[in-house]
Amino acid sequence: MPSKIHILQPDLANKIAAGEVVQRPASVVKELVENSLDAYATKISVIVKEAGKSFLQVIDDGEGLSSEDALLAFQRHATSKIATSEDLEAITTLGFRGEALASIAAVAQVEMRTRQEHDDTGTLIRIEGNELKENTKTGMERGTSITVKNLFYNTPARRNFLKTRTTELKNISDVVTRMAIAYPEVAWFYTSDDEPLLDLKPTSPEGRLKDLFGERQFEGLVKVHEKTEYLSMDGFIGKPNFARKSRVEQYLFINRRFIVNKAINHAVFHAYEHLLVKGMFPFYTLNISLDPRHIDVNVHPSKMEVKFENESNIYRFVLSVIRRTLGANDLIPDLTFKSDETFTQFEERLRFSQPSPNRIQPFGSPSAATPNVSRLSPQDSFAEVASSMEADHIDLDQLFGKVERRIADDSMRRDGEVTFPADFKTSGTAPQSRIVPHQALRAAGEQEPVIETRAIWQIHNKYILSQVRTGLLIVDQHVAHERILYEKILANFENSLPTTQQLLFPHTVELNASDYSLVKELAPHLEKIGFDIKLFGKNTVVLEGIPADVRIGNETKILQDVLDEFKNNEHNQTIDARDKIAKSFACKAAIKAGDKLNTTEMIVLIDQLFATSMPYVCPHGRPVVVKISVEELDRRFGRT
Amino acid sequence: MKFTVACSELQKALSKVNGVVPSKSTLPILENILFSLSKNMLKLVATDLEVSMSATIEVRGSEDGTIAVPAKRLMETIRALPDVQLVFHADLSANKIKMITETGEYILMGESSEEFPSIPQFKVEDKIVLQGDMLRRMINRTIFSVSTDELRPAMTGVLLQVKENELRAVTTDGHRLVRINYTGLKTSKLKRDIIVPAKALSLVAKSAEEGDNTLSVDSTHVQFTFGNTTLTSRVIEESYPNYESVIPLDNEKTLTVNKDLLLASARRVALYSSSTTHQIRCSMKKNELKIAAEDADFGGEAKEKIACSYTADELEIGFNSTYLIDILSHIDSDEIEFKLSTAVRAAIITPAKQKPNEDVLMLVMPMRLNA
Ligand SMILES: Nc1ncnc2c1ncn2[C@@H]1O[C@H](COP(=O)(O)OP(=O)(O)OP(=O)(O)O)[C@@H](O)[C@H]1O
Ligand SMILES: [Mg+2]
Repeated sequence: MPSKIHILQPDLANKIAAGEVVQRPASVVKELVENSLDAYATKISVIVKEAGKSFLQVIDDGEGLSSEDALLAFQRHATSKIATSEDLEAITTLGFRGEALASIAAVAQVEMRTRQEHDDTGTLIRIEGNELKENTKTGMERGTSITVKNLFYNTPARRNFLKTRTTELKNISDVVTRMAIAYPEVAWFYTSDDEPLLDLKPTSPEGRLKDLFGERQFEGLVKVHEKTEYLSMDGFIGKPNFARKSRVEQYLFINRRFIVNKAINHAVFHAYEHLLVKGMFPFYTLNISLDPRHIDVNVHPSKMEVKFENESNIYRFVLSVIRRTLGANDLIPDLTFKSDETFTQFEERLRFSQPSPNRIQPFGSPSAATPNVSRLSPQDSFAEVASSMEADHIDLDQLFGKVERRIADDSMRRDGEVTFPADFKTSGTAPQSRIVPHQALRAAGEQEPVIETRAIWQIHNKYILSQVRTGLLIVDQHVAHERILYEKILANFENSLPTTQQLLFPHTVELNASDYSLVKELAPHLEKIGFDIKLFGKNTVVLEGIPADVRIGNETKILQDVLDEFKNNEHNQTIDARDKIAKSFACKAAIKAGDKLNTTEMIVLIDQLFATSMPYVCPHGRPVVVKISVEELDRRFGRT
Repeated sequence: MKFTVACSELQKALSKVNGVVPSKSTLPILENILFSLSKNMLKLVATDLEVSMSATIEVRGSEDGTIAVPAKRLMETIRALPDVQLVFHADLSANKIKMITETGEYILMGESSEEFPSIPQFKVEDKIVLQGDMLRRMINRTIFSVSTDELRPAMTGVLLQVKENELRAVTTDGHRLVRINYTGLKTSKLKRDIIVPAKALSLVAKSAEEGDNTLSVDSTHVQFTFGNTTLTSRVIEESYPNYESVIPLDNEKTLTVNKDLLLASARRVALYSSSTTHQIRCSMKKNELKIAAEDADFGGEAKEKIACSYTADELEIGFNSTYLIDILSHIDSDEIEFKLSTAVRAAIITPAKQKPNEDVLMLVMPMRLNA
């Protein structure tokens, strides 16, 4: 009987293997561009036609290949990038499997032209379905150009699987955008059906983002930088008001390789806490650099996943750094009233859609709507946001003003709540000092204090108004105090440092049976907050001391209030008892709307607010601060 | 209604009653002062419904009558005038007031006297005579520690206890307490405990005159008279907390220290305390008192050492610095004495040497020290 099992013909085997590496035109672009970057290219051109289905070319000015190597490059498992299995443990290049070119050549008609700097001539190789069709010399500049025609011409099933041209082009654009973000020092040129889409000059990371997304969106970004002995993280994150309805603009790189990682993505998202409206996702581009020995990229054929040696530490690191960055920056929403004048709205729109000089003109501008690139266009999404906001009565300006308080300086800030594991210790100056920025500024003498102490008012015994450099700041006194107390209590839980004012007349509180058992259960937490409670039995407790934050006039009610609020939140199973009690206490002990405050109290409140990790939202997610810029006031009074 | 008066005379009388006029009231009529003229006697009355004050002066009257005059504008005008003769002429049917001097004429709109709330009739039941400076002293030394907690109304007033030969004033806000006994009282029949609103007493302290003043009480009100001025106030009809029972008698650790030194030192160190809790810690060991504060929120700390006399076991106790500073600045004695027990029990502060006929006791509850 003939055996059932037989070895596949090489070309069939190659086609099958190719399926893992080359799924669509965008994967071809990705592999070719990675090769160009590995060859130290400083300028890369990506030229596609029919979304890469019929024609796709990547040209670089990298180190090129000798004519022998050019042939070898198309062999399966042929690579110049690793040699030993130790090398595999510490991958420093984007490619390492030696499979990409072989896979591409198995399913398309490929032509490579390449020349090394010191070779006399270049080499031209043409391969169709893994068969060498041509191998000649050719004259060319240093570098490599690879043309891929008729992708999947010999695997019709795959070809049929391709999505619409719009979708495939979007995928290619995504690949180019990611690469362009990760490699700002490289010049990029990208055209589709002879229409130029990107022409990016070498620049800084900041410059690249401005070129890609426009100045206006760039202003909505906050810089992230943190370095430890183990790893470092750099990049930009969007202020909450720039959040989008989808995750498209989230770029995560590990050692400059674009990857998809749910945990890190979640850490970033989580750090935004209540800053985001439900269903909105923050913009971010972050690169984490670490010793390649601590990660494994050889997990998935697409090389888009990474295994970390210690993912939960990375998670905590990212969470803490992002949280601190957000807290340290001016995220105060700028309040712009809805304008009745349609022409201002129009101007507003125009500002949104102004093309940046580095971008090629019709890129997404409404007049020249090219549907196939619209997904790449940042302006479109801006217009979307802008128009969705016009629906609201109050138009929260997408833009935040300049950094109002100079609290951005990390070293002046209270450290984030997350402590780094030992090997994550920050190498820079430890952000331990807890000096209030105000006082620090006053001490420094030179810089003007941000809130001029005299320019502070309370209106309706509810809001605090204060003049700041760029406009008017409005603080809701209750939620502001709530945020302060909430963080203080959480800190109490960690460090056990409550301050208790002993009472001259101990206060006897009669509770119902269920409240009594609740107090019994929560007693250790209540003590950490600063209550000095004696359980007397018979549903009676005696308060001998209260947290020092409790305002006079609130002393007799505070315990019952906290219990009631706690019970209100009881259905919320997701937060733990400590968090719930912190929230309840913060809510009940905070200054209320209606409480009159004197100037000192207002200043203390604002100082303390901006020393919290998240001054802009209260623990329940309500906004604490809004700002009206001088420009907005000028506009309202027709001064512009 | 018509009379003539010297501006300075009118101003003197007005400034006495003007303190009662509420600056912003839900009842606009209260922003007026009621003028009533009968022959040559002009009576000025102001009230905020809880406290009312009246003052009488002699004028040259020519036409009796009564009208409510807007306090603010009147005061401002009189203050701005030199000491000239002023003719006050009110057209009661139109509530129009004309004030005429030799060189000027000022017209302002008044309100009908009928709009003005009637002042409670006070039946003098019993009275005692008090020296003005003693009265002022007792008020100024106690009033700072009344409570602002409207849920405990008794504590928002000053407890006045009139005994056989003794007047006692007590205030507490639940965190600190002041008790002053004055024993130089001429025998009185009036033996009563009353709680007087703080506002009334602060006006009393302002108006009390040198020499004899009287205090009298009826079932719902208390009245003070100083010369031609009377102040009547509702009393707070609540029972005062049993303060005697919370004043410890067995605090055995005694610390004696110079008050000015301690006060200055506490003020400096307090600058470094947390802006919300104001906590400072006092540590005492043999003849040495250390005061320290640290601002855990924003960084910064301070400590100072003061010589004192102390021989008991070492003790560390925390206080709200504002309470301590308040208390120290209301004791007038070079040396003061602390009586202490533990870090969570009341501290008693008294002048090392009491003034004659006087016994001052101040008490402050500590802030529990963490760690
Ligand atoms: N643009 C280029 N410039 C210079 N050398 C190149 C270029 N593209 C490919 N090569 C050479 O060809 C080899 C094979 O490339 P290929 O992409 O197939 O494998 P790889 O990059 O080593 O690994 P991977 O399969 O992970 O991409 C590379 O190792 C490199 O030496
Ligand atoms: Mg490769």
